[in-house]
Amino acid sequence: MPSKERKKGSLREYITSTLASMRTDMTRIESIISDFERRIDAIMNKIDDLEQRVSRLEKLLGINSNDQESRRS
Amino acid sequence: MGISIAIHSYRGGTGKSTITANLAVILAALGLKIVAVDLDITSPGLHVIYGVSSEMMRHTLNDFLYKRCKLRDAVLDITSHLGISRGKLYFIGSSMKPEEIAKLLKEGYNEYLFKEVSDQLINNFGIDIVLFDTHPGLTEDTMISVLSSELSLLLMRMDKQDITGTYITSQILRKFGKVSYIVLNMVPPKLASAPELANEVSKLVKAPVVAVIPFYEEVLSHRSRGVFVLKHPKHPFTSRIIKLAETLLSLIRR
Repeated sequence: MPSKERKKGSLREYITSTLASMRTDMTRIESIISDFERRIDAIMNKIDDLEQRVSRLEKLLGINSNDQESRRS
Repeated sequence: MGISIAIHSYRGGTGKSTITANLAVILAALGLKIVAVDLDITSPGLHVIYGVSSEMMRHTLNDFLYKRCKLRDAVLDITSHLGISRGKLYFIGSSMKPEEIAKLLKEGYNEYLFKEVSDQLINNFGIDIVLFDTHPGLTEDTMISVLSSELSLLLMRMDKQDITGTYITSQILRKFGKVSYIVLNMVPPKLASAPELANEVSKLVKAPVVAVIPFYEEVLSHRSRGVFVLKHPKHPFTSRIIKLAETLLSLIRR
């Protein structure tokens, strides 16, 4: 716990005053979150693409993925 | 020497109580003395998962906070009730009575009581880990429990509202010189399998991700009727909770 400010009052007061003093730039936060969402979408797309490739390969090799799944479980 | 761990989240519905209840059982089963405290005083629910009736719970945390009982009167040994063969699991519940909840909402509680509860449990009961299931959001009471605990877990879903809130929560905690470990819960299974996910989240919130727990239909269908890990010891959810418990223990021992 940061000590200097704490000595002035209770933790509850310290929390309230710290939160009240914050100058949050919501536009910047929204932009950061949107960038993050785009990176997550890219990961999801990569997984979808990989799954499609695996599925095409299985078809070419005549492998039934359902059989594989049931054998695995 | 025991430690306290606060489990919190920005939004409700992230699975805090489910994770707390199951994690406490696994930690106890590893041979430790654990106490799970329902600090979600405005919407308590841990007792439901543990199958603790109001008759069993003769005293609650509320009684202790208002000095109507000693702390030991509110501590319930639920080890044999749950059939845990190793370790010890204790539970302190919160009152579900609307009048008690209203009183706490109106009056709040002394901030030092949080520390008193964990200190008493650790020093007088020899507890290894005190797990606090907190109320979601940035309420003062939750902030006090997070800032006063030695370690904290911030639960997050991969939902845009929750991601934004968790980002802001982490920013606030950094202002107080605190870092909560991130637990990603109910992650879409496909995304949970991506090895880069933890790193991406960690970079965003500037905090380490200690667990990625996928969404499991079976956990949802279980509907809080008992402790999932005890009923389904071989389920992948149980394996994830065991892994989380082991990660926590290695962090504590560090």
